[in-house]
Formats: sequence, structure tokens, C-alpha cells
Amino acid sequence: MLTYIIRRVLYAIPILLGVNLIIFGLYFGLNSPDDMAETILGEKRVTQEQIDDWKRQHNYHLPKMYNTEERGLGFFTQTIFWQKSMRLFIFDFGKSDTAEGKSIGDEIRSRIPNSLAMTIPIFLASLFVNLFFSMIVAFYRGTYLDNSMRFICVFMMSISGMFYIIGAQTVAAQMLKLVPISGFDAGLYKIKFLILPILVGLLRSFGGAVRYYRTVFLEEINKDYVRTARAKGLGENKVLFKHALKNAMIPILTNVVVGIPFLIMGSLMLERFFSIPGLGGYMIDAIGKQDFAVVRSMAFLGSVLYVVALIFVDISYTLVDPRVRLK
Amino acid sequence: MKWTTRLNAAVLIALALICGCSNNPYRSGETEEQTYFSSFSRAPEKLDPARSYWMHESAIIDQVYEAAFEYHFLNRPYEIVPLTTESIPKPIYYDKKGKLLKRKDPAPEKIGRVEYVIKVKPGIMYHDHPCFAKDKQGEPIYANVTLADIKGYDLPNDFECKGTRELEARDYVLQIKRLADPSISCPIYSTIKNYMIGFEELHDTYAKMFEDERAKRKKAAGASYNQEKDEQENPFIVDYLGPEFEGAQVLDKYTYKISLNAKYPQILYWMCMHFFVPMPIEALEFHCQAAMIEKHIVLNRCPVGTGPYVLTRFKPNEVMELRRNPNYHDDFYPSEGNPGDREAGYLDDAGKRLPMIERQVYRMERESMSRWRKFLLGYYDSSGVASDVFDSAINMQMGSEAMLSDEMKDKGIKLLTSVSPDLTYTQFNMLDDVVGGYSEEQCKLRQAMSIAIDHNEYLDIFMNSRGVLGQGPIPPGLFGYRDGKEGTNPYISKWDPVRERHVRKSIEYAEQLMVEAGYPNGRKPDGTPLTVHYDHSSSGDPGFRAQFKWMHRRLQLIGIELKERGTDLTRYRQKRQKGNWQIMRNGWVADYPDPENFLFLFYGPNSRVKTGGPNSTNYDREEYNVLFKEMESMQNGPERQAAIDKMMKIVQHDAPSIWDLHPVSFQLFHSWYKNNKPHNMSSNLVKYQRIDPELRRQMQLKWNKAILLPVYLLIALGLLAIVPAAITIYRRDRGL
Amino acid sequence: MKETITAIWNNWYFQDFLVLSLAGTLTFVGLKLAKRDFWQIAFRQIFQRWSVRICFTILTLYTTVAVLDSIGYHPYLRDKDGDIELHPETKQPVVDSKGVSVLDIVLRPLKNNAENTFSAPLSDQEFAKMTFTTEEGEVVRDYKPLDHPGKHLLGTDRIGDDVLYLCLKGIRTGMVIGALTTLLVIPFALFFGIVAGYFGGWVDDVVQYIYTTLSSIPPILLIVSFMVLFENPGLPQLVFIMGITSWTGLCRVLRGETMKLREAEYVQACEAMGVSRAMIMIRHIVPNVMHLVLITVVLGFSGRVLAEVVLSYIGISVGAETVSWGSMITGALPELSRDPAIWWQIVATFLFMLGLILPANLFGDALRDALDPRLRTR
Repeated sequence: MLTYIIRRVLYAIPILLGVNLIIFGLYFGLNSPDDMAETILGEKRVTQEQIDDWKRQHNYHLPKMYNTEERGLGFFTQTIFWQKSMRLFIFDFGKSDTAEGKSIGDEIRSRIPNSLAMTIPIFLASLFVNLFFSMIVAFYRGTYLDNSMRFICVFMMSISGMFYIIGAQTVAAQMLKLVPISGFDAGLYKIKFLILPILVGLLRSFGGAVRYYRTVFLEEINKDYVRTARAKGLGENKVLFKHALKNAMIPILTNVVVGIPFLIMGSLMLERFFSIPGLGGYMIDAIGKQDFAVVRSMAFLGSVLYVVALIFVDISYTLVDPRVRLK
Repeated sequence: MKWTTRLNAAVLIALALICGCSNNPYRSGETEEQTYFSSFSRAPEKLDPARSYWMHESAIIDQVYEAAFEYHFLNRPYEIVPLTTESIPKPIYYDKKGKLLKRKDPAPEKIGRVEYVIKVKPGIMYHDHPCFAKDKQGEPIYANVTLADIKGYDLPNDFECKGTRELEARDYVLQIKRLADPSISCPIYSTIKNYMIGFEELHDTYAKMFEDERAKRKKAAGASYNQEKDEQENPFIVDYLGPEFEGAQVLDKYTYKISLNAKYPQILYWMCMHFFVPMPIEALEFHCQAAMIEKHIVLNRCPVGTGPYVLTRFKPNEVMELRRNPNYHDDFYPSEGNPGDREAGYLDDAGKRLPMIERQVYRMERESMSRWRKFLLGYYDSSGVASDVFDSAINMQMGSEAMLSDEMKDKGIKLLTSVSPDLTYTQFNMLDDVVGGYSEEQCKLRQAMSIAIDHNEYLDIFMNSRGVLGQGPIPPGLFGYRDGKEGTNPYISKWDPVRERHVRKSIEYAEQLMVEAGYPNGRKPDGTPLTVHYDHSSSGDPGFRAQFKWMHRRLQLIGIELKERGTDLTRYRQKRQKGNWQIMRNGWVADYPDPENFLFLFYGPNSRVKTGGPNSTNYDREEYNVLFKEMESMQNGPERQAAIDKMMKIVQHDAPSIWDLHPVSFQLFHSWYKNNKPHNMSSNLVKYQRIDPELRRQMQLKWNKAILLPVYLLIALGLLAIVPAAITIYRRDRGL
Repeated sequence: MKETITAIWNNWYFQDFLVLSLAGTLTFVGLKLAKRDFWQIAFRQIFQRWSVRICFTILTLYTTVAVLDSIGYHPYLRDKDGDIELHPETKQPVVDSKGVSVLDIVLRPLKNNAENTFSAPLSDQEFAKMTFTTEEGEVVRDYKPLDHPGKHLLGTDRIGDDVLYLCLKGIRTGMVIGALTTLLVIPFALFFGIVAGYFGGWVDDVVQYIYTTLSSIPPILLIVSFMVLFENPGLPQLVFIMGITSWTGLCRVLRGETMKLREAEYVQACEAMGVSRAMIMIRHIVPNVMHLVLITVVLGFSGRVLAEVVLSYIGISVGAETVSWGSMITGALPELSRDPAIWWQIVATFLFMLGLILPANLFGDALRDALDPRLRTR
């Protein structure tokens, strides 16, 4: 087990290196640091002299990938790629290019709790609600209830998330005046701001999740052991809620664990519409401002979380299914 | 027993949650104080007065720092009045040999040196700040702090020990020296260096100092040297006191002197802006410590000044809070203004001590829809700093009453409008073969396009008529702008006496111009339509699509085919740098209320391609350039007006750009928010304003009664649905 | 009339060659597959249900509109009086570089009904009051009457274009994004997935490395970063980029399925008989994973149409000259805060999107039930 995990972690290094190279290549393949400097310095009265100053100050005066003026190690280390992108491997995110001197690591740390404050309740609430409904649907399989629920699920999946947000804000906040339209606050005061985004998140996940869990349950119900259990005279409730649920948890768990990176990376649209200062918004802002420092950090963070989640999925397999062995 | 109590508790909590439902985004009691609530949509990034050049950042900076002068709150046209100084200094002229010139207004070519001597009022104190805190020996308390010392602090205001100090002349000089610091990248560096004596040399001195120090450090560290990391741990201390600087000198404790190499009356306008605020050396020493940088307690986040407010909370992605500065110097509400101000109630608070509002809270609001709704519900006192978000909501007609919807009128919402000193213009690249050039035919093509793209229609469709059709580069309200009929651009516009506004000439005339330009019916000599490209970087802007389609439709009237070329911002700038574009749309916001600030957009030597200047059309006409040099340093008067008129005729004929419009800026605010007069130059206005918290509380309660019935219905429905399901499950289990 | 016909004859075009080749490929594959019992049974089974038949009809309608919008011709230039313009020297008619699609011709009445600005559905006056000069020469401030009153079933947008027309034009964009992306993706996913699954070893390692790396980057970041590469990004670029970022999912599924099939008895038997590996992959493995491909295509379709809305919202658009639902929604969002709100743009787009995605999802669902025996629930 331990050796397996170590091997997977080592395997992550080339992946992360690849991620760094892709992002670096896309941002600096065509654009030069000069363009970046001008974009950041604004355009009203900027001169080449100032662009050079800026590059000098922010360490962008170095060559991109290799430095022919240096000998030995400096050939690789005195370059933008090494000094900016390779630092990420020790989780040193450096400083933002546009927001003068703002530490990206601090910013990420301060935003993660905000994202989690919204995504974890969504995650848990939707897990319970969706499991509950999917079990009801599985229980009534083949009836009109099942069919209409399936249709409702597909219907809900077919609506863009944007409409849920607009609808919820209009009805709950504007017309019924039950919760604030948007905003955020510290501590427990944030609860009233989170009710609406959580509700929207729940609605958005409902269709897809219920439909998926339903198929998982049905697959399980059709298996031999369930038939045996029924033949033994066990009640339908016990079959469904005790045996099938337990076994169906394997695929559901994998599905859920894969979603973990998204918990931390936040939800872009929800954060934006409800003014929640989370990581999703940070990413979008950085894209808009072409802040390469933040973009590469977020890409790196995203991939790390993804790789970690994959490892967790494998481990969770062994935990729920003893037949699976990691080699 | 046990589960029943639990159930009871749960029901009680749920009831409390439901009944306590309210859409009030603030904590209870918060709105009952003298607090001003507003919103912002862009996070401020640089609060360092030497670095920032954005409106949304000035809104904070200008309230904490104070420049030597400010604009009068009520008087129009804009008038400069002393703020921290005794008076407005008069320029002292010297000739090329250094001899004092006696004449009041000597010719610019005779002048070799101009000096301004500025006297600071004694007794003005900085707000309480830890950088001034001293121990018993008189040493600063927070001199060599470690991370452990400042644990838990986020802003200087959180520190335990604070002190203050009197404002001195040296603080102003220090800040001017900072403008030359290459590590600061001051946005107006290139302008100042043309005028201030010794400014460029100072920059080079600093730059060399940086270079030497870095080379030394790199050599010591070898191949593993990482400049960024190293400078974060061992910051450079720039020696601002060291190098001699002729441009700005301290004469005595309260007096300093600024020396320019030419006549440049606009310097006073610059000195109203936050680039020329005082900067205490203590603050620099305080913030330039490794631990402070590590915790990001730096000048970019922590303004320190003599202004009416202190920044007490700064989470640029969530909330910003300012509180009244208890040390604020004597400053009183003006007791006279323009005619009509008294009737409008602007003088009700005359003579009162400023500031009146205790606290300001700004909340981040990304989506304009949420912001707008919150404003309507009374949770924001005004429509915010950048008010153009509400473009679509307000309809107004020039010369008539602004149109507020009935709902807004019922709520007592007020609207203020004023033509802002901005120019929106559609530029032609004068270096381009098709749309550029100075021949009569090429000028006619541009005139024809200017007529076809009728911005009166644009104003109606896109801006609800909130704007003035442009006739030339100078916006209304500035010296040199000609109002009414005599201001009409004779080549493309005419005066409509009925509606008292400029209108574009007819499409038939534009077609005639197209024939004369050599494109009859919009066709090139080979019979294909003339195609021009619109270069832009706003592919992602939702409003852009409609604007482009509208322009396309308008140009089709004279047979021209408009194509878009959208790129990201970086490449858009590259195109402009290289002159590799045809049509672009841009805006220019006045830095200061002087026509020079707009006319220099067409001054040849300012060409973007040739010198990287702000003249992005690359327009270069000899007569215009000569006139510009003359006009630049003139005092406002008939002579200057004549020169401006001549210049206007030249650019109007050559039409290096379409003079789109001058937008009308507006602000909406609730009835409890007093003393709002539109002011387009200053961001330090909250100090004049006042809130009626009682009225606000009543209105907020009145407008926001929660409607709970649907919730109960929903719960009932849910219960109804669950009961039969539960029964079935129960039955099936029993095999019934 | 005659000139129009010659113009059509000489200057016809397919706007998206790929859309047509997509339709062609699907028909070809469909016919090929229809010969197999497994597919025949499956299709017969699902088409027995009336709901599937309705969905299929709606999808066909949408596809027809998209295809009609992709075929067109370059008309001859005409002057103001409607006469054909001749080249000054050669005296030949001049061809307009801008094409007209069949859909444009069908919808000409809608297209040419443009007003000045907003008007509500079926209204006969503009949405907001405006100062204008009446026919009698009087300057009044009132609701301006429309040029084509009562003709706009779904109202008009800011610059007076008919919303119904825009929604119909948006169909092609939606279909291209949803379907064409997948078409681009399938060959890559099929090749890499099967090769990796079949050969294993270092080939598998390399393929796995590529798709893990690509899919580990948050998709939005990857799409935005790729978009920077293009000079004038539009619909083809967007399709290309969405393809790059979405082939990994299908590839993973195919790899897993191939690994299972490799161990199947009939494949083992082929190997024992000395059939070449390429032949085994083409003849035995590809047909047996096709059902997975089809399911992924149909279910991925709706996801991509929805993704376009989000991408438009964060500023990645298909260019101002192409109509897309995403950009219509993004453009109409601020108008909701007007008083009274301008709701018809949002509602119309919502309905049109739902009209495409809901049948697609239902159809995909039915297809999956029929084709994936493990999931057969009844």
C-alpha cells in the first residue's frame, strides 16, 4: 500500500511538469513579457523605458527557457520558466503579477475556506438528498413515479445553471425577500448569504446525480445476491436499504471522490453571482487580467488536487472492496 | 421524552430561521449609524499613490491621502482651492540664464525655469499609525519586527501602539522622489520627466543603484539566485534622502519648491492628484521590513495620510471599510457655491465641520444585476463608484427631465446627471492605406463614415440618450469647447434648432462624399465592396456584439462592409504599437480639466507608433502641431480660444477619428443620502456628504417585508408527498 | 430570377464542410451498423416508444435547420435599385463575398423586419419612450410605433433584430459546438484509447500520461489558455479547443473497454490464428466499442451546448458575427434589471436551448438503456 502511494506520488511529478510546460507554452509561446508588462502597467502613458523597468523588477528580464549567457546550472536556473514555474513544486506560488506584491499562496489560503463554506454544504446536502430521492425512485422502479422522476431529472439536467441562479435570486431574494441577494460576511454571519447558493447548487446537481444513482441501484438490485436475499424472505426495505445501498456505495463513492478538486476550486458561476470571494472567482479574475502568475498557480493547484483525488479513489476501492489489491 | 425535546428544539430553531428571514445583507444595527453603504465591482490592487492610475483605486486613496490642493466642491467650472496649503502658488519665471523675469506672463520661449513655492499649513496631523509610534527613547517601536511581533495584524490600524506626527514639507518632496523610483513604475513618469528638472537623472541614479545591488547579490548566490524570492526576504531600502534632486527641494519645515524646465501651468492640476501627496519617511521605513512584506502589510494595501478617513478594513474581494480620522484638520463645508446651489439644498450644511459621515462600507458586487436589485431595496445608499453599470436602467433626455421609473420615483430615489469630461472616439489609423492618409479623397472617406455611423442613434439605442454627440476632441465643460450652433462640426454635422442639438448630415450627403472619395456606392474600383476592419479586444464583452452589428448596419448604408478582428488585449496593444490596424474604438477620461489633455491626443510627436505616446491614431499635421505647442502653455483667454478654434477646424476636416460622444455620467441615490453634487474631477467627496439613518431604517423595513406563505406551502406540499410514499414503503415491507 | 439561379449554380457553398461530413459519417456508420442484429434490435426497441419518436423528430428538425444554415450561395452584388452590378472592366457580375444560407432565404421576412431597438413580443410599439419626429413633423416623446408591428413573435433585441430569427440562427452554432466537437474527438479517442488498451505497456503509459495531464488542468483554464493562441478566435477555434479538452473522457472509457475485450475469447482465438493486430483492432474491437462511442456522443452533446453558455459568460465567445445562444443570454442578462424587465430574450433562448437539450438527453438515455446491457432496467 505505502509503496503504491509513493509510486503514485512520484508518477505525479511528470504530470505536474507537463502541466507547467503546457501553461507556460500557451502563455509565452506567442506573447512576450513585454506585452504582459504593458497590459499590466496600463496604457495611458506607458513607455518602453517603464516596461523595461517593470520586467527588471519582476524578474521577467530573463530568457524564457534557457540562458545562453550563463554557464553550468545557470543555463537552466536563470530563466523565467525555472524561476517562475518550477518554484511551484515546493508550493511556493510567488507573487501576483498584477496585484503588486500580493502573495498568491496567502490569497489562495484565505479564499479556500470561503469556497469550502459554500461547496461542502452543497456536497453533503446533495449527497443525502440525491441518495434519498434515487432510492425512492429505485424503490418505485417501473411505475409512473419512476418514469416521471426520470423525466424531471433529465429536464433539470437540460437547464443551464445560469437560469437556476437568476430564478433563485429573483424569486427568493427579490420577490419574497427571504434571503439577501448576494454578499458575504465573516463567521456565522455568512449563513444567511449561503442559503441561496447552496439551494441552487443542490438544484443543479439534482437531475444528473439522481439519474446516475438510480442506475447504480438498479444494477445492484438485479444482482444475484439480492435475489437470494429476497428468496430468503427478506423485506423489500431491508434488501434495498441494507444490502443494495451498501454495495452501491462503491461506484457512488468513486463518483463523489473525483469531485473533490471541484470542492476546493469552487464554483465559478455561483461565486460570481453571489459575490462569494472564493477560488473560482480568483481564477476568472486572473484570466481576465492575464495574470500569468495566478493562472499557473491555479493550474498547478488544480492538477495536484486532481492527482490526489485519483489516488484517493484507488485507495477507497480497496477499502470498500477487499478483492481489489493495489500493486 | 428525549426525542420529543429534541424535536421541539429542532422545530423552534427552524421557526426562528424562517421567521428571522430577511434579505438584509448587514448585521443588525449596522444601518442605524452614520454609515455610508456602497459597492464596488473591481477589486483595487494598488493603493500606493505613486502607483495607482485607476478611478476605482482613487476612490479610496484620495480619501486617506491629501494632495496640496483640491477642486472646489460646488463651484463650476472646476476651480482649484488650497487643501493643506496656505494658498495656490504663483509661478516664478526665470530666463535661460537664470534671471528672474518680472513680467506676469512671459512668452514660453524666453523661459528657462519655472518655480512654484508651496507653503504647507502648520498643525496638520497624520492619522494615528504605528509607524509614528515611539518608545521612551524616541526610537520607533516597530523598527525591526519579526513575524511573531505582528501576528494577527492585517492592517496598520490593528497595531497596538500608534502615534502621529505633524505634516511637513519634506513629506511632499519624498513622494515626488518616489515617482522617479524605477521599482514603482509610476504611470505618469513619462509626462513628469519632460518638465521636472533632474527627474530623469534621479530615475537613472536609482536604476543604477538597483542594478549594482542585484549584480552583487547574484554573484554571491550563484546559479540558484532567484531575484524575486531574494528581494522578498531581503528588501532593498531605497535611499530617498540621499541623491540631490533639483526638481523638488525643501526650503524649510513648511515650505518646498518645485522647479520645471518650461512653462507648464497644468502642473497644478497634476498636484491635485494623488501622485503629489505627502509621504512620511516613517511609513516607508515601517513597511519596507521583511516581515511586513511577508505579511503583505505594504503601502499598496495600507495608505497613510492626513485625509478625512482611515482605511480600517481592506479585503479587496469582499469588503472595504473606512472610518473617520479623529486627527483630521480643520476643514469646513463651503459656504458659497454656484447660483442655484442654495435652492438645491447644497448649502444647508454650510460651515459644518467635515467629515460628517462616520464610517463607509463598500461591498464587492460582481454582477451588476445583484447590485442594482440591492440598491432598489435600499441596501446601498448610492448606485456606486462606477455608475455606468446602470446604463440600461435609466432613461433620460438631454434638456428635459431625467426619466426615472414610477417605482423609483415612489421610493424617492434621486438622479443626478452631468456631462462627464470624457471623450469616446472611433479612431482611424492614419498610417493605413485605406482609411488613413491626408489627401482630400481620404479625408472625405473618413467624413462619410463619420456621418454614416450616426452616434445620435447610438445614444438612443445603447445609452438611452445619455450623452452629447461629439463634434471634436474637447468635451463640454472644458475651456475651448463651443456650445450650440457655433460648435457644430461643419463637415459632418448640422444644428437642429428644434431639439437644440447637433445631428449628423444626411446619408445622401455621405453617399455624395463617397463618390468624391472614389468609392461610388461603396464599391472599390474593381467592383467589390470596400471592406474595413474593426480591431477590438472586447470579444468577451456582452454588449460589444450589438454595438458591432449596429456599426455594421450603419456602414452598409453607404455600401461599406465592416469586418471584425477580435484579439486578446495583449495582441490588441501589439497591433496598436505597430500601427497594424484600421478602426478602433476608445475612450479618454480627463486627467485634469484643461483642453490640452484632449488636444494632445492628436499631437504628431505623441504618435503611438513613433514614440509610444497617447496619440494612437498617429495623426500628424504640421499646422496642428505648431498650434498645439503655442496653445499648450497659454493662459485661458480669447487668444487661447482662437488657437483652439483653429486646431478644431483642422482635425474636424481631417477627421482622424469619428467624434462619437461625450457620455453623461449619473448617480442614483436614496432620499436619505444628502449633499450630492456631480463632480467629475475629485474622488474625495464623501467628506461633504451626510446620511439620515433614521429615514433609511424606516424605508428599508418598509420595502423589505419577507413573504413566507410560499415557503409554508412548499413545506406542506413536501409533507403531503412524503406521507403516501412512506405508507407504501411500510406496506410493501409487510408484504401487504 | 435567372441571375439568381445562375448565381446559385455557380457560387453555392457548404459553410461547414465538417457539418455535412458529420451527417454523412453518421449516416454511413448508421447504415453499416443497421445490418448488425444487435443494433437493429436496439433501435427497433427504442423506437417503439412514442417519447423517443417525438425526441427524434425534434432533433431531426433542429438538425435540418442547422444543415440548411450551412448550405448557401454567394449572390451577385446588387445596387440600390436591385439591379445586378457589373464589373467596370470585364462587365461580369460581381460576386458578394458574403454568403447567404438557405435558412437566410427561408427566414428573409424575419431578417428584414428589423426595428430600431427593443420591442416586446407581438407589440406594435417600441419598449421605451423616445423623442422622435412624427410623420406630421412634430417632435414628440412617446413610444415609437414599429415598422413591422405585431410581426415579432418573440420581440426584438437591442438593435431591433428579431429574437426568433436570432434563436433560429443560434441553432447551427449550438449544433456545431455540440456535435462537431465530438466528431473531431472520436478519431483521437478511438485511436489512443484502443491502442493503449490493446497494447498496454509503454504505449499505455504514454497515452495515460497525456490524458491525465490534460484532464488534470481545470478545463476552464485550459480552454482560456488555448484561446490565447488564436489571432481572431471564432466558432472553428472554439470547437477545436473544446475538442482538445474533451477527448480524454472518451479515451479513458475506450481504454478500459478494450482492456476487457482483449481478454475476450474471440480475440484470443483470432490472435492464436495469427490474425494481424491491426486487423483485430479494426474488425473486432472497434465495432464492439461503438455503442460506448455513440452513448458518449449523445450525452456529451448537451453538456457542450450548456458549456458554451458558461464560456460566453466568462468572455470566450464565437465572435461578434456569429449568433450563439450563450452570447445572447450573456448579452440579455443586464437587461433583466431594467424596469420593466426585458425578459423575452432570456425566455426565448431558454426555450430554444431546452428544446434541443431535453430531447437529446432523453434520446441519449433511451439509447443507453438499449445499448448498454448492464444498464438495462426493464
